[in-house]
Amino acid sequence: MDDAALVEQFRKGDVGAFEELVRRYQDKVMATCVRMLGNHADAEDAAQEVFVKVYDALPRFDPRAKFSTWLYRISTNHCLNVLRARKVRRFFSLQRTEPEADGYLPSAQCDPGPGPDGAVEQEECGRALWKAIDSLPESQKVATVLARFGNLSYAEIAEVMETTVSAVESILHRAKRQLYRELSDLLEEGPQV
Amino acid sequence: MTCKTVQRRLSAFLDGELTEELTRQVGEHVSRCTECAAELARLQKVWQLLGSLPPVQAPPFFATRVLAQVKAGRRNLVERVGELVFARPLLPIAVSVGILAGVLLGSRLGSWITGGYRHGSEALVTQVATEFESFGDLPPGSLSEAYVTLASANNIK
Repeated sequence: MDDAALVEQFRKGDVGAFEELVRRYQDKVMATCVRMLGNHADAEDAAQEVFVKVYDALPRFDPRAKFSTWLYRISTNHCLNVLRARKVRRFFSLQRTEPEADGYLPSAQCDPGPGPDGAVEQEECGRALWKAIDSLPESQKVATVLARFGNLSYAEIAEVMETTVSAVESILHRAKRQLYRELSDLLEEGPQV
Repeated sequence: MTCKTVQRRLSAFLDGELTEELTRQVGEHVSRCTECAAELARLQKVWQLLGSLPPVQAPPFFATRVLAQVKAGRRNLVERVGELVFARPLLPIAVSVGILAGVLLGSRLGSWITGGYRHGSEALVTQVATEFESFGDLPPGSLSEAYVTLASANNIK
């Protein structure tokens, strides 16, 4: 059964259809949240809240729209709100601690080898990856996460972000250059971009 | 194609998002331009680094927890609606009724006390006036007579 049929079933009162939609998209929503928020604990809470929002909003969902696009839009908007709230909390908090970037560990290319030093370096690498993505402006962050971790096409990203394909192309180009600048030490080259 | 045009297209080239013709043109340019080739290599490296991260999976029983949260949310919603419909309007109404009752009671008590005092004070004035009359034999033109006359006039009329 395709997404549209499940949505229709749910609108007729079948909660099982909603459960099937959750099972179908839970990994994708979770991945989006982990990559945007940087750690599994926050991401799990966010992903659950996303599906609760979806449940509440499904009766008003336009059946002509694509469910997955709509879901990604809700997910990324929700994560952006979480990040904004996190920034506000950090601003008013005495502790200026960075969030634990466990969503970025372990990484094959960051793995410097076995031993206690290796674990520390791997953690630093994970933190660097998270900080690099977190340093991007909101639109670049969303486009990067959808393109790299959601494997969405530029056309799909444009639909999620409600913009044009050429705008997505430009956003992603700038994002990649910025990420390279942020990660140049890790990539064993000086910043050249 | 100029280097500037090619470099703007490199990200889409890397992601396989260009048309066949544009892919061919950019590919040709990169193969003979070291600067654009270096830029492409840099973008490729950073994209590969991000791509090397392990895939993310939702934790076990995620869907079950979502459904439980949805049900809890609906219960909370019912409670919230109950609060909105019943509790919230009742509070100002109760406060208003309390204030009104207080004002009415205060007004009643006030008029009762004032009425009693007025009644009592009239009796007192009459009594004083009667007492002053017993001083009628004071010598005419004396200070005592002037005082009694003045006090009787002020209190009685």
